[in-house]
Amino acid sequence: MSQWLGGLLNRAAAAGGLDGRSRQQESEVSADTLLDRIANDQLSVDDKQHAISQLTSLGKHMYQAVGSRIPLITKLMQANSNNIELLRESIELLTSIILCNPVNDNIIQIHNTELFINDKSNFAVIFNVLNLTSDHYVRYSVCTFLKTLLTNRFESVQESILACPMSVTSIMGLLKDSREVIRNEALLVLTDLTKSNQEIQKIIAFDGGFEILQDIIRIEGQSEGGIVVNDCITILNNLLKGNVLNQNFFREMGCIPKLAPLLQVQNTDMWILSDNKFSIIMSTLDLILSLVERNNLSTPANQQQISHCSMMNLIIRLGLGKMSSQFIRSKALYTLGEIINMNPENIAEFSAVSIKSELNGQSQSALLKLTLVLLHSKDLIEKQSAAHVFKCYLTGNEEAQMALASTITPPAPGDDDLSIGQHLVRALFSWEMSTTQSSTPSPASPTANTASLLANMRIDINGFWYSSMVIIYTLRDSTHAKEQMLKAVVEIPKSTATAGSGEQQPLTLFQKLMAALLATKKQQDIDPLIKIALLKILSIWLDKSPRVVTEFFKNGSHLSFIVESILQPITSTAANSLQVHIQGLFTAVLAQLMLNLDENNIADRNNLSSIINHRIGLNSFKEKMDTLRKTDQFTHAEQGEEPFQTALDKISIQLFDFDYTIFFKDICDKVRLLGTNMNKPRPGTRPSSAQSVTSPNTASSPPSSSPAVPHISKEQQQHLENENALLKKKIEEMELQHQQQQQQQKLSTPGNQSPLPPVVSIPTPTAPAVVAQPEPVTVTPVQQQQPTTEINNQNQENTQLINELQMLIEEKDKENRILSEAMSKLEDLILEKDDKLEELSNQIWLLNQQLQQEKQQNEQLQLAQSSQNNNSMASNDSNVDIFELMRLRQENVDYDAKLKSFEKQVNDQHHLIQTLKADNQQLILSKEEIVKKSSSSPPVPTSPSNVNNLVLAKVESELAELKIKYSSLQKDQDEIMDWATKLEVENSTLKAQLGK
Amino acid sequence: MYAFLFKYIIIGDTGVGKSCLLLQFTDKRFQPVHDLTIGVEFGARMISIDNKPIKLQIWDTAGQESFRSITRSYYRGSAGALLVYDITRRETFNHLTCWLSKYKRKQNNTLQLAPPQNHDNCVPHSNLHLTWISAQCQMRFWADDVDDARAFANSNMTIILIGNKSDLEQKRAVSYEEGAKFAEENGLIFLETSAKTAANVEEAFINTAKKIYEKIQKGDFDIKDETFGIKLGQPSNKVEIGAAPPAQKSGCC
Ligand SMILES: Nc1nc2c(ncn2[C@@H]2O[C@H](COP(=O)(O)OP(=O)(O)OP(=O)(O)O)[C@@H](O)[C@H]2O)c(=O)[nH]1
Ligand SMILES: [Mg+2]
Repeated sequence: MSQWLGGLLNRAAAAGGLDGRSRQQESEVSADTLLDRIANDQLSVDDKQHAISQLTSLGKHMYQAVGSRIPLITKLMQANSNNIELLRESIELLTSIILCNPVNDNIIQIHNTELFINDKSNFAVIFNVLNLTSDHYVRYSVCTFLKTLLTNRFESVQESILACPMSVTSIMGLLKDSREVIRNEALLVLTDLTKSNQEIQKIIAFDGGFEILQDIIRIEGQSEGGIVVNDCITILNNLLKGNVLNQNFFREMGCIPKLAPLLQVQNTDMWILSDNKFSIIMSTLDLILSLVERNNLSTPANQQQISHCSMMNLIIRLGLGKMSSQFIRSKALYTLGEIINMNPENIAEFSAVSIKSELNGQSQSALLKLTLVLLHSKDLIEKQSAAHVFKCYLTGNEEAQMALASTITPPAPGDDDLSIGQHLVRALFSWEMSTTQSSTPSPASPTANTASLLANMRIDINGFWYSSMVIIYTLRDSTHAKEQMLKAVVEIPKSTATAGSGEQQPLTLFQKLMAALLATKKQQDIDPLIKIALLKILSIWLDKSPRVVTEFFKNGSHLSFIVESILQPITSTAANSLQVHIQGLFTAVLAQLMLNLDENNIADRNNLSSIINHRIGLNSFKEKMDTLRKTDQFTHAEQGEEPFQTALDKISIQLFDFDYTIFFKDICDKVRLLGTNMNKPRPGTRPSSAQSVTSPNTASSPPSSSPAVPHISKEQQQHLENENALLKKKIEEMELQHQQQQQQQKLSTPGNQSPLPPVVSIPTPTAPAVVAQPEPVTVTPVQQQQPTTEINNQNQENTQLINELQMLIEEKDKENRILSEAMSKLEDLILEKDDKLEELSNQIWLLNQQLQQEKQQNEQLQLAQSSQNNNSMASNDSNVDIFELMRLRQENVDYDAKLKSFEKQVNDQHHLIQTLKADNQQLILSKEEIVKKSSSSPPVPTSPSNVNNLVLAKVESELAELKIKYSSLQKDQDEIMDWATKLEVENSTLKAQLGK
Repeated sequence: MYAFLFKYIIIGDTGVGKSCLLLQFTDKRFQPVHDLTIGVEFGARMISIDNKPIKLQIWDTAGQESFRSITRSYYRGSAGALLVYDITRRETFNHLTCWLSKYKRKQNNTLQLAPPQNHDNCVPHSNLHLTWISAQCQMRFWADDVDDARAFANSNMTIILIGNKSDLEQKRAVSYEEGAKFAEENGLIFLETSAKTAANVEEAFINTAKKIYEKIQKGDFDIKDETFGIKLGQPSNKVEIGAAPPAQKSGCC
């Protein structure tokens, strides 16, 4: 310590001797002179040391001069590594020339940093110093120096440290220093050093980093420790985040259970938490989140260990216990979700956990407690985190889905202990209770009091929303859960109320949902979120379950409501009205009905397709879904799973989550296919497999081969469709007239109170289009009881006209159908022809092949014969030999071909190697260039050699692979060559025999 | 938990089956495709020697020369090294001198360039293009070595020579005798293994551990010095302290 002070005094004395102005003048002369002195081998170490301290006292005037001759300083240090005093002053000097001043541009300092980094031997000296001396001040200032280097050029320092194998070990040595000051400085160095560089992270793990850090945490008193513990956790998190190897290592070395004490809280902590403890808990939760991150190979094993060492229970306690900080509660819940996500064992364990209630001391299941948090917490982050737990608990876990679905039962009267399902259902319809109760006051009943109480409560839209989310998670991707939910009864009608009106069915959740949805029609000012949530539930529920579709069609008013909602013009484009979203969802529901309809339900299918094609129009149908896809909310959710948010201002209800966007886009894709099928209606008689039978062989040919026929009929079809559209328009006009007249009629007859049924029901929802036509005819006479004969006549005329027009349409439709039938038949014919064509061409090819072979054989025969003739030996025996020869020749040809192909492959490989080499050379060149640049021009940004190195490594490894391949190919080639020569030898011996 | 922890490294040319040996030892699986190791991989397993539980912490390094600058950091501080070649590829055997010269020089702790004849050994003669590449890598390789000579300070490392892929008898390019002779000359343990059939894989790891254990008993190591790659386990009761109280199925709050 006294020496340290001495150094400082020394420096002060040197600086004090000169006044500012003259010193500046002198400095330009003396910085170089001083450096020359250090370089001078004749001078003593003491003189050099003196020069160093004089340099330091020059302040910023020597930065550039010293920076240009850094190796001079490091060599001096290397040569005098036992001279503590000199080491101290040298490191201090080096630190001062790179230490940035936040106010200035610091060009010289940054340049000096780069100069230092670029010379690898500089690092070696620094780390050598660390290993050789235990001097407090030297070690401390090395820490400061490294910290400053890292602050200036963090990535290049990481690279240099990687290139210097001793370095990490030396830094770990600093961490083990018994003097806290040094250890704490080393922690700060490590915090920067461990950021984002996986190789450094691994070496630190190899060098025992985890153990050292966890030891420090233990010594500092775990969660009672201060900022040092927090630093350690941050470094652990740096080392583990996204690093599979380190996570495996961490787990295998038994480090996970050692984290548990960091999450242990005393009862007193529940109410008041020190800032330090708060940050320790928060960063430990961050660390655990890193251990269970999605798409990481080591996550399942980490999840298992986290629950095995009962850390999961500690986290449940933080999330659902009495902890006063909602930040910790929320983050603990979110973490809990990630711990059980996709892990059946942990899910089972979590669902078995129960918590003692503070109120009555009774045990409550954690899931029920979670439900209460979800519905009643005032904090949106907390609600969202609770919903996240439900999502992780239910997704892909049919058992849990079924279990939750089974808790939806009608609540027993007077029983306040609701089940999870009952809580959720109550929240799901709470808005309805309050609105209906207030608009139509109910007659006195035993529950009237509680009902009006509820009515007076403000609707908790957030509670409603998250309860709808949980219902969605419960239904999603599970046919069993969907069907189980279909049976769920939510209300049993009171026997007193229904005594007179006979048997009344209990109300199921589905019926109630639909009724609630229909009821929203009457309420103009209803929160659009309500419609959106209910429609999302419905669209998910209908997915892949024909039984739910069937249930939907049991009530005739459902479909017409959906269709009307789709057709309703959008009146307000205001963002908060969300009309576009709502209509998009209505369309999705309609699409789901069409897509998931029971195959045998032809009547509803025809009806739906005519609604989509004619009433709504296929294009407008698709457009409405596409419009939803283009909304901000949708495109935002499309980006991916939301990370955990703690910033309050960023938290709001998200209309869609990532999963729903995938689900929705899937519907859109199916609708697109549906559209193409609808445009080319195929008669039911035609086997649906016809196309797939013929197509594989001629996959590419049919559309291009003869486009003429379908083209013409398509035109015709277009024409007909246009006609149809015109006619439809006319009808609509007529109908409008008709309606107006009826309204006039109504006005002129005040006695008529009966509401008019929707006359505009070209296809009524319950019946196919064709049956629907006579309806206006049959209905109108009943309606027209007034003796206003003129209007009546006109009406009749109108209806007649409509009838005629509709007949026309029908006729055109028939024509249409016949035409398209003809078209598909033609298409089939074309396909058949194409097949035959291909077969023929195949045959031709084969024949050609045979021909060629025969030619070859002929040639060979001729050759053989000629050689035979020369020998004038035409016996049967030699004939056999000739064939043998021919066979051998043929084989030879084959081998030749093989050889050639191998040669070609080898050439290709050569080529590849050549190009790779060229690439390599270029890379090396550019690397050199960059190195040159970075050492010659001062303000060069971080050297990109890092990237080049990686590319180089990759190229090199590819090259090596190619090398191996190449040699094996060569081996093969050699083998074949051998073979070939053998054959040739055989050949020639045979020839010789023949010659004999 | 364990009486001792030994750190191992696995080194050798690319494709000789280092990762497969590790996988066979830790997971009892064989991986037929070559998943090039990038940097390093890690594996761990408990074994028992002399009735003492011993944890092996094994670091599998990339054989590719381009990763050598990274993998060098792992040589130091290991108690055991598995030096692997492929009995079907002669050049991986020829390269052994390169690998070993590092360790030898490290034992003398002297700074000198590798002897030229060693250098020649490392270069495949077969093809000019390839020679160029290898020479490039080799030059860097040696230059790095000079820098790091100090890093390889652990002269007590136990090295086992492993001739892998013994199941491919028909493709053998290095005889058992050659391998054994080389090992004897350099004072190494020797085994031929097959990561595919698991033949001798256990033995390779366990024999090395036995040797290290013997050295400990002879007092060759200062156990407290972690640069030897050996750690004394904590007494088992002390380990439990860190763990949280048993799971609370009820009464959590
Ligand atoms: N037949 C056989 N094949 C093996 C054996 N061991 C490894 N292989 C194969 O050899 C190839 C390379 O094995 P790896 O273990 O990935 O090679 P490596 O030494 O780790 O290579 P690098 O990671 O590049 O250093 C793979 O295709 C393995 O299937 C063995 O004992 N017998
Ligand atoms: Mg490998």
